[in-house]
Amino acid sequence: MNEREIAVSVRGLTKNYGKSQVLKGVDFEIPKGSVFCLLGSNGAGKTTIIHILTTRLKPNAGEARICGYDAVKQPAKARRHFSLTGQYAAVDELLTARENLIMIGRLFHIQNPKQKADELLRRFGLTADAHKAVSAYSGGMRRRLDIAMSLTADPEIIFLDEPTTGLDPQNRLEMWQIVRELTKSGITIFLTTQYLDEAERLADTIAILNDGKIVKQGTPEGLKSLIVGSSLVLYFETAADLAKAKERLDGSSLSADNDALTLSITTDGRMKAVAEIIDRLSDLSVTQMEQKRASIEDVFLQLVTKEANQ
Amino acid sequence: MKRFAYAIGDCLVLSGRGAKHIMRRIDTLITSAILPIIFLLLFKYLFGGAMGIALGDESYLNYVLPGILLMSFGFLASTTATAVNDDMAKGLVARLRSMPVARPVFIVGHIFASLIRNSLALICVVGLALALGYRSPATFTAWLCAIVILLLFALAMTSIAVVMGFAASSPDAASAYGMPLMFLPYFTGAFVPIETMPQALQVFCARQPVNTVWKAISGLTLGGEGYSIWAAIAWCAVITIIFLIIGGLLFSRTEN
Ligand SMILES: Nc1ncnc2c1ncn2[C@@H]1O[C@H](COP(=O)(O)OP(=O)(O)OP(=O)(O)O)[C@@H](O)[C@H]1O
Ligand SMILES: [Mg+2]
Repeated sequence: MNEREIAVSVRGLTKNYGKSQVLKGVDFEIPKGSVFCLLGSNGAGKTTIIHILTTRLKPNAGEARICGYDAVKQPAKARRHFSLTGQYAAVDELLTARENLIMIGRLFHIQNPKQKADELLRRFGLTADAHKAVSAYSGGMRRRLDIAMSLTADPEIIFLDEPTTGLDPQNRLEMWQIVRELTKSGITIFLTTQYLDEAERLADTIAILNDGKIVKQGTPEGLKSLIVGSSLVLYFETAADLAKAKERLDGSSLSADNDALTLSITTDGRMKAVAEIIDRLSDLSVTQMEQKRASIEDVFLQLVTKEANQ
Repeated sequence: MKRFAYAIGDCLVLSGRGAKHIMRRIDTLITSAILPIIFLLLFKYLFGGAMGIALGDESYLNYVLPGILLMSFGFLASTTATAVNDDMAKGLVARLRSMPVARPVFIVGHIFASLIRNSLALICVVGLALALGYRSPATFTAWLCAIVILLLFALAMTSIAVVMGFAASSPDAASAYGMPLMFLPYFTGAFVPIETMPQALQVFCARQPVNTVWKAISGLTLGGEGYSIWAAIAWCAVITIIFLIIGGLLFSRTEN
């Protein structure tokens, strides 16, 4: 790929905190204008990677570049090209949304901070609450303001660290919508999440981070085989029935909890697959059934089962 | 030139933020005045009788006022340390750090807010002292000089507080770090004459910067001798500069 078309490039990145090695050689490249999603469970090192790219943290080895500028050696230049929306909304609680936006606009020395603030308030549906102190905002509103603040200086790259963590389903959908809208403006988006469905819906490229390394990388289509729509959790009355169910479903990716008498089966989320499972277990004593959103753990389970089956 | 204009502009923006914070956290502002007032009442009515007799001077209030002011500024440093750390905890510092602005100006907003709180405490304490019978033989110029030194001392305490705010692991810890500053004036002649202390303590107290500052203010307001305005100003300036540099470095550092 042409140097000029790359927004972010990371090579051989390692990071230790004391003795624990959090990143063990991470490599990836993000083309300009695309949506890159870093998928990883709690503590995988997603925020660490973002901190290094946003010039806040020094890596132990390796290289991180933002639009060609080295994040470690040329931090000031790198900073001109990106904007950061951290894992926790970085807003001034005592100011109003509008004041927050104007403050950031002025600090970026943009031409018309007030006009820009009003435009962003409109774009993020905050106009009606523009003059309320942010301390009275809901989590979803804070997130939106946070992203609006990040867009004040029209950055080329925006980092969104777990933008939907802690949001309710309604707000999550809204956030997805916002990210999709953002892509239209041609901005490069670096997004982290713990949820597969989120990565699948939003990303052009997904990279799965596990144990300090990128274990899989590809387009959502390319990773389709890993994409589990959801997991089905069954609650059994007896341990015998649980054992029987495990036997009958041999070959699918399962995880059983013998104390709680539950069995969790990852599926592609389609009715057909679910119906088949129910069909096979129809004579067993299942007291309750639950559909769960697929998590990164389910993907690993799937990865491991796939390898074992081969 | 452009950079300089930007830096000034950034300072104004952040001072504006500091001012808004003060206006919207009126309770913090009120406590900033109330505790110093309590110090004053405590020292006048609780210790004033005994101390007045011991000093052979019936107005302990006249004697102790500079000490009360210095102690109040130390106390108010906690508020600044907490506010700085709060900005860190909320991720605002991370956001500003990742921006291409003249970065350490972030501190300016906190300094501005702190000086407002300190000035308010100064006005309230001196006002109340006057109402309770405080009298100063000093000239207007001497008072002006004393006020400048007091504000410089407040600035020095604020700078230390900013560093504490950056260094602390949580807003609560930051507040606790700030506490010792309040006790610095005890180790001077501000509350009891140094000559009455044990020898070892005398050595320390006579030489510590806060004593130099106290001597200047006390001398200026009561008309004593043997103090140096310049020494007091120099100490405040040195402390302020050192801690602001440390604060600036802490703010713009890249973590390891
Ligand atoms: N300052 C630090 N000192 C020591 N260890 C740290 C530090 N920061 C992070 N870690 C450790 O590094 C690992 C990766 O942390 P990181 O915050 O990057 O994970 P994450 O993928 O963002 O997780 P989450 O989904 O919980 O946000 C964790 O095990 C964490 O405990
Ligand atoms: Mg994280």
